Amino acid sequence: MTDHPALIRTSRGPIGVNVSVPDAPLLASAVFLEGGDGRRFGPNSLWTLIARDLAGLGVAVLRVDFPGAGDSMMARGDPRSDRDFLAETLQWFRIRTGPSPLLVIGSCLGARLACNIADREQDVDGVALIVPFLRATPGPVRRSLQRHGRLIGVRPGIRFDPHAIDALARVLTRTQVAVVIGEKDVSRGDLTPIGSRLGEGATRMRITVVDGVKLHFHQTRRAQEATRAWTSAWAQERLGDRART
Amino acid sequence: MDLASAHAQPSWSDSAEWSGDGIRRSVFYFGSPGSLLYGSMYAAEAPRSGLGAVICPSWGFEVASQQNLGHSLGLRLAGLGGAALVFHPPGHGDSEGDPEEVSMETLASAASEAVAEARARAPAWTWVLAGVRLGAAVAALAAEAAGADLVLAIQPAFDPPVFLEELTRAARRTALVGANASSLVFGHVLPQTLIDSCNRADIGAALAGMEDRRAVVRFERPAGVWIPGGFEDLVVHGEWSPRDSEGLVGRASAWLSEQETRKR
Repeated sequence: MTDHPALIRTSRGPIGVNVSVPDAPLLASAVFLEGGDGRRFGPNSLWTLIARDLAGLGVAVLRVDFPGAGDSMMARGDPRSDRDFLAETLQWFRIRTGPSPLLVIGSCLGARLACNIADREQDVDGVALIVPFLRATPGPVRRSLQRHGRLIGVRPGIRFDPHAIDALARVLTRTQVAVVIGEKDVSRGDLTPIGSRLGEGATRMRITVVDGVKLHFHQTRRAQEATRAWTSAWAQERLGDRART
Repeated sequence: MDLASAHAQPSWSDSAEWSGDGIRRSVFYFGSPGSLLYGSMYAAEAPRSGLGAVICPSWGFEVASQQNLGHSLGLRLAGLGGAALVFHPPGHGDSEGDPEEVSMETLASAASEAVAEARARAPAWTWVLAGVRLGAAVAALAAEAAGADLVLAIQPAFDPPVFLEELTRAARRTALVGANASSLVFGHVLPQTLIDSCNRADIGAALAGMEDRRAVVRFERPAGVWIPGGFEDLVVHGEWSPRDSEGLVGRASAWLSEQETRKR
């Protein structure tokens, strides 16, 4: 396994990435999309370690610094609303992997991007959502209500990102979507209303709840180990008989 | 162009460099196999300043939360005609290494390696050390071995045991309000090797006798930051926050440019 850092020339400026590439022939490729912090290595290098685990199984894994963060400091754009930087970066990646099944992994806010990417790309062979956060980014009025609404007796309801939910519904007709979430994660409560929005498609979404733990931010050793083991097991399952153990 | 190169498949390593807006960027690994370190370089396409700064990050969660400060400073220095190397410490970010074996010695050794790598890749610049928070202490410890005759400390944590104590206390406070009761410090293992090495680190002694130039760039709040002797103290108005470090970046890059002018 070798890590190959790169600076991708995109219309938004240089996007910093790191690709973990297996030494043996490629069985699949994967894109890992982190949360709103935009840092591709994750808490305690968790995303780096997961990428290296998957490369050990035969998967080339792309991790991306979002515009304005880390190696993408010179790039412009908000990953919440501007997805062109990702489409161009993914194009660079897929030219180098050649035709191969694509696994899409998203954590927290990255789950929204993962749903959109999985909807747009060809050959998607599975989607993994780690503590998915599919709520819409609140505008200024809603943000103010969330902060101060209690004082005037107004409690705004949860609003999901309609693009991400629609994309997820379409993706579920094409491939498997697996979700891992901690029993103590706040966004666990979102899964029921998301399921209602998805209708029958929700039955095809496989949800794993890790007992007694909060996965979001991965602040505990148990949370880090649970996510790492789950992601590796999920990738092995997707690779099936092709997996290198 | 021959046929072979005309049909060459793009490779993973053909995008390790980028240039535009007068700035040359490169990303790479350096050091020894098994303990490779991740490096990200900013350099002016047309050097106008003779100084390049290796920016030593802090430790643990602060490597992540303050990484944009390092990249902003690197970009600013390159824009002023200089250069900078931002790197990930052992066991952090995209670098290799076991986070449970990290100590002040391994961090200082990584900083020295980074300076050697920067000199080899960009010999047009005189390479000096800058450090953020605990990285300032690391830069001070590494200065002599790295042959750096200038140390710039940014919002420094020059008392490593106090730094660890404050960070641990903050992590515990966060755990109390969340569901994250954990022995980790913001998700990072605090190894005994780091605790022990922080207890024996003597920043003042490391710099004693060195004929270097030194400065601290810090916000005026929090007050009471301990600074060893011999440092020029450059205070920026306001309160320290890793999310708003623009004041530090501006003052730090200006000071480094002034040093180059003085040298000339």
